[in-house]
Amino acid sequence: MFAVILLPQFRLQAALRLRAELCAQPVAIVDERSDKGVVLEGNEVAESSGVTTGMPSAQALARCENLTLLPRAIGQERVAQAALLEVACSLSPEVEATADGCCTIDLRMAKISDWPAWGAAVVERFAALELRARIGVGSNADLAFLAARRAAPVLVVQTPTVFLSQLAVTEIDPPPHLLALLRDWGVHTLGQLTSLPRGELASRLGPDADRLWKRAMGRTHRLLRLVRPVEEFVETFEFEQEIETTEPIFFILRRFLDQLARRLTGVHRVAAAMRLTLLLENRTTHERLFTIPAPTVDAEVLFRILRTHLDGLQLKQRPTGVWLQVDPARPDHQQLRLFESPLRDANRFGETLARLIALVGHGNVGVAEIADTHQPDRVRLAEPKFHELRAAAHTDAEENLAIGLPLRRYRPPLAAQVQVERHEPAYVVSDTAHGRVAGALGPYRISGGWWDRERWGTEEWDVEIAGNGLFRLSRQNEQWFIEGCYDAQLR
Amino acid sequence: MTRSYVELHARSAFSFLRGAALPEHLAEQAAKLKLSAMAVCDRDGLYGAPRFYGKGREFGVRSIVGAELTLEDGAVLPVLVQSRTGYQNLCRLITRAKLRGTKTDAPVRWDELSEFTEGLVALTGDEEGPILRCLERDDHESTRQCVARLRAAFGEENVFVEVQRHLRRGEDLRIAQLVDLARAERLPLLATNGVLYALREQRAVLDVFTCARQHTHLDVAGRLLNANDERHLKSAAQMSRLFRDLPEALDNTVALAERLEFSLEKLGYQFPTFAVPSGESESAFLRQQVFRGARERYQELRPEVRAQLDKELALIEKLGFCGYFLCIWDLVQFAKAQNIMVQGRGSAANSAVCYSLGITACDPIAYKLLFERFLAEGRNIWPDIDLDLPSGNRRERVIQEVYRRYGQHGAAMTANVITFRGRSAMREIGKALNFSEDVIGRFSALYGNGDFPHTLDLPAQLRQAGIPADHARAAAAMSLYKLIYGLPRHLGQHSGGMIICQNQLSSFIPLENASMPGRVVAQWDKDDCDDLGIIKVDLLGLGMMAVLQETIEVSAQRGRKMELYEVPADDPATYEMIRAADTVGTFQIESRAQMATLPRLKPKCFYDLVVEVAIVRPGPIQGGLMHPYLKRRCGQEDVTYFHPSLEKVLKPTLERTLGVPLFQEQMLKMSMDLAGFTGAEAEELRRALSFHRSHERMDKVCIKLRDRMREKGLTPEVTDQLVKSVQSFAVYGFPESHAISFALLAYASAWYKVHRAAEFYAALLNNQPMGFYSSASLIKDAQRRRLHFLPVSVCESEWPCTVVNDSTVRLGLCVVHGLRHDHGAHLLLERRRAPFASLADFQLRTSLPKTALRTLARIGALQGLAEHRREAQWQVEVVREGDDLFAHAASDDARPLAQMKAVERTQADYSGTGFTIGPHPMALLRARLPDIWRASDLPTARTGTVLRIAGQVICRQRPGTAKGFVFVSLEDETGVANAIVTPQIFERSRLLISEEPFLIIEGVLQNIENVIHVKAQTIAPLQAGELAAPASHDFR
Repeated sequence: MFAVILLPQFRLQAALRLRAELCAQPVAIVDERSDKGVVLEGNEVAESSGVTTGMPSAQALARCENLTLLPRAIGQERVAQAALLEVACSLSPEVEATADGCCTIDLRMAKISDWPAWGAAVVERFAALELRARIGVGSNADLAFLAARRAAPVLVVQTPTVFLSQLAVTEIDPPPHLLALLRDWGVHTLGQLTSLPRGELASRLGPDADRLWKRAMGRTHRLLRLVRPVEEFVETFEFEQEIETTEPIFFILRRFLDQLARRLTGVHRVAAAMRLTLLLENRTTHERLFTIPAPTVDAEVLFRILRTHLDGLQLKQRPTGVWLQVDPARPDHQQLRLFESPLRDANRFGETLARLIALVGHGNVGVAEIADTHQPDRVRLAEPKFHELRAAAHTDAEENLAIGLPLRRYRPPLAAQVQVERHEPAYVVSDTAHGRVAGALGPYRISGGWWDRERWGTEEWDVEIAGNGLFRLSRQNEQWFIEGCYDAQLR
Repeated sequence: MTRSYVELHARSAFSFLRGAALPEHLAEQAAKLKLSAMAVCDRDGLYGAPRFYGKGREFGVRSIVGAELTLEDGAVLPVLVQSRTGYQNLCRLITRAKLRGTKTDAPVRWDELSEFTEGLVALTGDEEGPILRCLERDDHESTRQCVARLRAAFGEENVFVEVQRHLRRGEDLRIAQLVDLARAERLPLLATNGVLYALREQRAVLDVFTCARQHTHLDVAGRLLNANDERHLKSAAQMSRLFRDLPEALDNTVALAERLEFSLEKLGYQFPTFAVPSGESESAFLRQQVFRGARERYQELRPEVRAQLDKELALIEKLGFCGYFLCIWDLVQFAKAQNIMVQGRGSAANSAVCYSLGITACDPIAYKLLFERFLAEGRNIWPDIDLDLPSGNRRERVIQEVYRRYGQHGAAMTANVITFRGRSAMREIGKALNFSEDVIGRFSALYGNGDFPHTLDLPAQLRQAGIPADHARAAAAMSLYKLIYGLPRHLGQHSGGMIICQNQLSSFIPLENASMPGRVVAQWDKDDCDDLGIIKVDLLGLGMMAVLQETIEVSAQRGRKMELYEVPADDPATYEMIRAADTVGTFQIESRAQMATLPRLKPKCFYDLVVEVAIVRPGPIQGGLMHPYLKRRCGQEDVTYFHPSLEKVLKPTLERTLGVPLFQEQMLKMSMDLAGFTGAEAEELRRALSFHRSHERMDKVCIKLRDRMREKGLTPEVTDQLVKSVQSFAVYGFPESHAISFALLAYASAWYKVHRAAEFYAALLNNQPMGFYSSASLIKDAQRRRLHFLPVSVCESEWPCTVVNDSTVRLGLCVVHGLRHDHGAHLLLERRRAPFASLADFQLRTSLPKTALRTLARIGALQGLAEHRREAQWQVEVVREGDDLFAHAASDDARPLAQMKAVERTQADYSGTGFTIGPHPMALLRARLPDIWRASDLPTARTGTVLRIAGQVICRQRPGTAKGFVFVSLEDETGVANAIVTPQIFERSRLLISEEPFLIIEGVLQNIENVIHVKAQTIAPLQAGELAAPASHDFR
């Protein structure tokens, strides 16, 4: 027999799994990519108000005034799908990930006598994960799938012909052109479809129709596209009692890494990331993800990364256990050209970064990228991509124009007081430069971001302050700053 | 020191996504900044020039004409017009490039420039200009070559090196290079600000437009956007500060502006003369044709007719319009010779000359129409003759004849400026602000197919669409909406307005290709043309003209000939039908609002219809004139003339409309009688009334009217009442002559509906889409009038719907969705060769595509070749090869598909033709709606009864005159029930009303003088399963 586990209204279930407060209200998931925001799935409350799948969101709102429209929760869908496969793989090694929220299990080798009881137990397991499941059992995969669609929550098909004849044609997902034609013909159920002469049908509508007819008869036997259980490289250890120093953790982590390195080598993989979780005495955890700059199986290198982090770590709770997961990756076989190296020692660089993170905090370290905007000095912090770290040639037209004296920028700019005469800066007072303005060029105005709360606007002047040198001043919201000084020596 | 300055390089919003201010706004701002003159140079056209000229004249800003020309290498060259020759050259140059290229890509070639440069001055342009593009590449050799090219093309004195300063770093270097270039080449410098908008805040609009042009949004547009907001119009003082280092660049703007003496006032346009037989003058030939026509029209030339014709002809000759009348007459002659029905409308109907020439159909002498409304001395504008033609091919033939006569460069359609309205504005804004498609779509859906800012304000609409007030971008969306609303979006072509010219039209207006093949369109709209004295002939397509022509032809073929002019006047049966508001399918009097008035106005004669046509208009309704007229008509109110003291003065003008001014002519006469307006002032009022674009124009003339009436001693109350009446006409008031022309068609269509029903309904179906109702509603209406319809049949039907007998119509192949005309023609050809022996024979001989065969089978059009629809559906799927010897033999006798049920037949009919001649969908749903009233039963219910009606929504309307009330018409198997929805209920159920095809409405019945409405209390969707609904008439 085959079994299909179906998580009905998968997208809706995924989106509402952590938002129980919405379950009693009318809720629908909309496809934000479509022009009219078509409804993908709606809960029972929404459906009872006339909201149906495929309906434009405007019409859905017309029918159900207090309808909550949610976009797809892609992340939650992944979690739910992973849970589905995890359970399925524990039931049989032969599992197909048929679709999102649906998997098919080949149970022909299993010795199960009471299928309804077996199904009910599986449903229970999903209930514990806060997921609703339907189980269909049939003599082939397609039949089991159809059974799962009709299950409440478990359906075992004993007599396929009787079961199938009552089903709507739409249940076997015919190609749209065939479905339209069959509707035109008044063929709505599988029974009506199979009553048509097979040969005549195939000669008229082609092989697609023939396949459909066979499916309607429950006669298809297809091979499952099996998925292997996810390879997990995890090691875990619980201490007998709370530990006071980091030494026991270092000891056990080193053993973990030796074991994991061996396992990775055995399957020709390298470690691309490590996920360290420390279980703490108050049942909370400390978690940290380490991206390996140059993926490796060198246990020593991996250990140094962990050690750098743990050396600077101060926890308010004592650890009671440690859990380490390694994300495997294929080794990078790219050969660089002679004398070419993306980074001299990527892992050492990674280590340095880890030290910096320990100092300034997570989220405050990255690679600065110049943003595409007129706003000067506007950068964003990007995740370091070690294999792309090369000196990129800068070919910006705007930059080419900036010929003249090099500017040494003060970051952040220095506050200043500026006296203005005849619309021009006349006297500057600041910690760095102080004095009468001997000459001024400007103003130069730039502004942007007017559409957001981050609206900005700057007026800049280049000034010569008597006895001090050349400076760039800026005025933002009536506040003056010295942006930098021009280096006359470097001209 | 502030130097004088003239802005000589500005783009308006008519540069389409490259400028952010209307030309009128630029002119107004220039006046505020005290600029004496200014040039607008729109991209590749003179689109904004007339508006800028008009407003500039008003504000005392001299308008200089110019354009930015896109060259073949992508450079953009600004040119300014110095003389009329230069203007004509510029128009011709743009026309040549536009007619050669495509709508979006029509560059000027460098090598053709010199042919058209006389009278033009070139600037070197901004960052898109040819010089700066070379300097940007540091290509000094190309820079020198480019200067040499410009010099060679435009001449030594006519090239200016343009410098702009937008307070950006790096620009000083470019300016220094340009100054060096100018000095080296001994060319004058010219300062401009390269204006893209009037005010700083409009920079945001330009950023949105940039995103639209670059197909991106603001979050990622980066340096595609403006660096700052400095490209607004600046005063001489501001420009003096910016260019204090280059004073000569400022002085040159004034010197150059003085040289640019051309003004649009000196356009030099002339209407074509008419080629009369040799030895004859235009006036003599016109007189000859007029009197020949008059003898046919009037039979006997009574003295008053002769006197009127003499008077009109004398004036026409004096004003030099003989050629114009002859050209129009000739065009009408062409149409008649081609068997194309034609009828003049508008004020031309006031002219006995037009009537005699066969241009118009109603006798102005009989109706005592005012000729001066059409033509008067001292008006100094062209008379307005509009021709109604049958819509479709027949009208196109007349249009193409005009092109043929005057040449591709001699005639053009006027443009129609499509502006950003609610939906389109928010769509562009939403895309730029990176709102999701879902939000933008919902915002549009909330309009319910119309703009109703008076009941759902912008913040509320945005909130309902998913952008609450505290959204980071809500404020930007709202301010942008206000800035963008009303700006031009693109140029379309006017539905029928054509302009022609004695010489080449392209010397006066740039022409370009319309999207429609074979059409050339001018860059100005009809109001622009009107303002600059360019004569326009409206060749308007009227669906009803096509219907009447077809009805008359088919009636004649069937031996029931009745030409339009033979239609008996005052036919009792016709008026009875009109009084009963049984007017679906007729001209003008078929709308819901007209139907609601007919039982109250109870027309008994032709003039009542004239009033009916004119009264149900926004003008009279908003002016509060409709109800007084109706009350006076049924004796509920006394006939008065505003004030007892005015009765003597106003009675001759207003007596025929019971003291209520309904027509434009009456308004003009009253302005002359009460305010002492001269003929010219009355004409100014008329132009303000018919000039829809400008409220300002209307306000100005109203102030004058009020002052004059006050001077004449009229009380403030009477003055207010009169001015309110006049203002209401600005919205859309009918001239009496126009109402008469339309009433003629309304009466004729009603007469044919009563007496030639089969021919009339067949013609209505053949000319869809047109009118107020869909084919589905027309068929149900015809069936209620006991007309019988036979289904489409490949064995019987022709392409059009045909008349079988006086009460039977056979549906034609033209109603089948997706059946191409050439396929239909081939089918008919084969059938005429030999009847189809079988379905296989039909398939093999017609070779119709599968989709067409399936539709024909589904709607039952293969009846006669198959036992029932489903059998035909099964058989048409058999693959048949032409050379198969056994192909003609029936392939099998199997009929495995069950026959269609009634509901399925209805569904199939709607999907295949958009209507059914079987039971109405509501008849199929009736069994489950026991407590719903049928439309035909409503007259039996008492006013005040709370009841429920249900049906297919065939019309949703929210007239601007109804203060937010919405009218919903529901059709069931017995007729149409109308519901009134209050603004409050509409807001609550806005999307429900807009989106649902079937509705159940509960409310209180109102029956006032047989006009029945249900005042809605609750509205719910009627779940009709898969039953389709036809197209409805929504919010138009």
